[in-house]
Amino acid sequence: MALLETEGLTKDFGGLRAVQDLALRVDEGEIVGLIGPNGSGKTTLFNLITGLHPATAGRIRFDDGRRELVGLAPHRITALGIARTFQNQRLFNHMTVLENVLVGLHCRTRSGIASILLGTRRSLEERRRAEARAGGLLSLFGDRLLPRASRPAWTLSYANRRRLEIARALAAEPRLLLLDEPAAGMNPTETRELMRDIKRIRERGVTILVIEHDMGVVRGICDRVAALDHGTKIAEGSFEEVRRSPAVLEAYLGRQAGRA
Amino acid sequence: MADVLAILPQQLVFGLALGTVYGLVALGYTMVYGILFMINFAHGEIFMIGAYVGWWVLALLLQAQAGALHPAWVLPLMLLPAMLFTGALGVGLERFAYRPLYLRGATRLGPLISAIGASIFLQNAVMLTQGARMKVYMTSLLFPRDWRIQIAGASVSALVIVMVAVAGLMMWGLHLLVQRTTLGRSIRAVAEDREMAAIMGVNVRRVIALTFFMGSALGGAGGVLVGLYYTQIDFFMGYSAGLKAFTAAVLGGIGNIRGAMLGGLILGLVESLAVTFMNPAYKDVVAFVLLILVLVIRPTGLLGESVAARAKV
Repeated sequence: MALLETEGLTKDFGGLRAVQDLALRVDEGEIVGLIGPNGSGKTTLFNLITGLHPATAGRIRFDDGRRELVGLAPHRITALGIARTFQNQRLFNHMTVLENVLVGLHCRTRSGIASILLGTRRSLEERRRAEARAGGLLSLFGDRLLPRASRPAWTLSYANRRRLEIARALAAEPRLLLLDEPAAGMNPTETRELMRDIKRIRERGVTILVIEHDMGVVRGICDRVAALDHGTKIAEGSFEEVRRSPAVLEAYLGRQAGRA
Repeated sequence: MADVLAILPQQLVFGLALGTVYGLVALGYTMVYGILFMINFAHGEIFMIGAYVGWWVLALLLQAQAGALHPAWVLPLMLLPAMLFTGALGVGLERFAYRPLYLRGATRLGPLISAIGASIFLQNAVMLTQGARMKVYMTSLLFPRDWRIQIAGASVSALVIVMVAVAGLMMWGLHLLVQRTTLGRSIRAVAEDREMAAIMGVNVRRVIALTFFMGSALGGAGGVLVGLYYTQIDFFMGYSAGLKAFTAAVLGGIGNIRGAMLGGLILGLVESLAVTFMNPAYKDVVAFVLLILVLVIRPTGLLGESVAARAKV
C-alpha cells in the first residue's frame, strides 16, 4: 500500500526550480532513503510534504491516495499522521525535555481551554496520561533522555538533541516519520545506536523517509533509496542499484566519473 | 531631612501599590511582544477602557441604589466585566488591526503603525461616546477613608492592600497558567518558534488570540484599580499610563513575564522615592533616566535575554 505518493511535484523559488516533476512512492512499513548532493531538493521535498512550503504544481497523496496534502496547513498534516525532524534542530530550547515531547502530543489531546483553566478531573487525567506517554517516548532511547526529562532542552548534548527531536516527532503518533539527516554530527558509536533506534521505530509500525548523507546509515537501514539531483529523481532502487547508477555517480563526482 | 524620612514608609507603600499595577499593565505589552515581536501601542487605551467599564458598573450600582456597597462583591463585579470587555477588545484589535498585516508578511513596522492608529481611534471613540470631561470614581463609597491600618509608620488604606493583593493574585495566576498548563505550554512554544509549534499541532492563531485576551484583560483590571486609586479618569489617561507600563516592560526585559512584574515594581518604587527626595515634577524624568541607564548597561532589560542568544542556544 502506498502510504505516500507524489506526482508531478514541482516547487519554484522565484526563478529557481528546487523540485521538478517529482514522482516518489513510499509504501507502508518501509524505510526509504533520500540521497543527493547539497541543494538537490531533499529538504524542500520535506517542506512540501509537511506543508511548510506550498507546492507550485503537482500532488502529494497520503494514506493510499485517500488524502491530498497539497493546500493543507502544517498542523492538519501533522494531525493526519506525518511528523518530521529538522536538519538544523529546532527544539524548544527553553522548555524542558519532557515539555518538548508534551507539545508534540498536542494534536492528540482533547481538553478545551475552559476545562484546562478550571482544572477539571478529565483534564487532570488527560494531563497525567500525556505525561506518562511522553515519558514512554523518552524511554525509547534508553537512559539517554529519561533521566534528563526535567532539564531545559538547550542543556542536552548534540546527539541527545537529535534523539529528542525524534521523540517529539513520535509524540504526534505519526504513520510516516520524515528524518532530515539524523546522523549528522554523530560519532560512530552514536550512529550505530541511531540505526538500531530507527529500526526499532519502524517495528512500532512507523514508516520512515530519511534524508541522510552517511552512506553507511543508508545502506544499513534503508529498504529502498531514491536519489535526487537538481530537484529531479535520477535513480531509485536498492542501495546497491542506486550506488552503481551512472547518473548518481555523475551527480556526486562529476561527469568524468559518470562515464568511467 | 527628618521629615523626609518620616514620610518615606508612606511613599514606599504608594510605590508598591503603583508598581504592582504598572506590572499588571506591563504584562500586556510583554506577552504580546513575546509572541508576536510587536509593541501593542493600543494597550494603554485598553487600560483606559477598562477603567471606564469599571466606572460604569459602579455608576449603575449607585443608580440602582443597591444598598450598602461592599468591595467584597462590588469589586469582582467591576473587574469581571472590565476584563471580559477589554479582553474581547484586545482579541478584536488583533483580528482586525494586526492579523491582516502580519499574515500578509508585512514588516514589523506595519502592525506597529496600525497599533498607533488603533490607539488614536480608541481615544477618540471614548471621547465621543463618554465625553471629554473626566469622570469621578466614587471610591470613598466603596473603601471608606477610615479603613486603614498603621504599618511601620505608614498609613496603609484598605484600597492599597486590595490593589496589591488583586494585582499580585492575577500575576500569580498568570504565572501558573503559563508554566503549568497546556495552554501556557502552547504560548511558550509559539513564542519560541511559531512555525515549529504550528507543525506540532498547536493552533497558533488561537494561541495568539488568547494571549491578546489575557494581556488585555489584565490591562483592563489595571485600569479599574488605577481608576479607584486616582479617582479621576479621562479618555487620555491611557497615554501616560501606557508609556509607564511599557517602560516597566522594557526595564524588566520585554518578552519576559517575570521581568514585567519586576520592572513595574521597580518603576513604582523609584517614582515614589523620587517624589520623596526631589521635586515631584521630576518624577517622570527619574523614571525614564532609570530606563536609559538600564538599557545602556543591559540592553535586553533586567531579566531579558538578547534575541541573538535565544536564536543561538
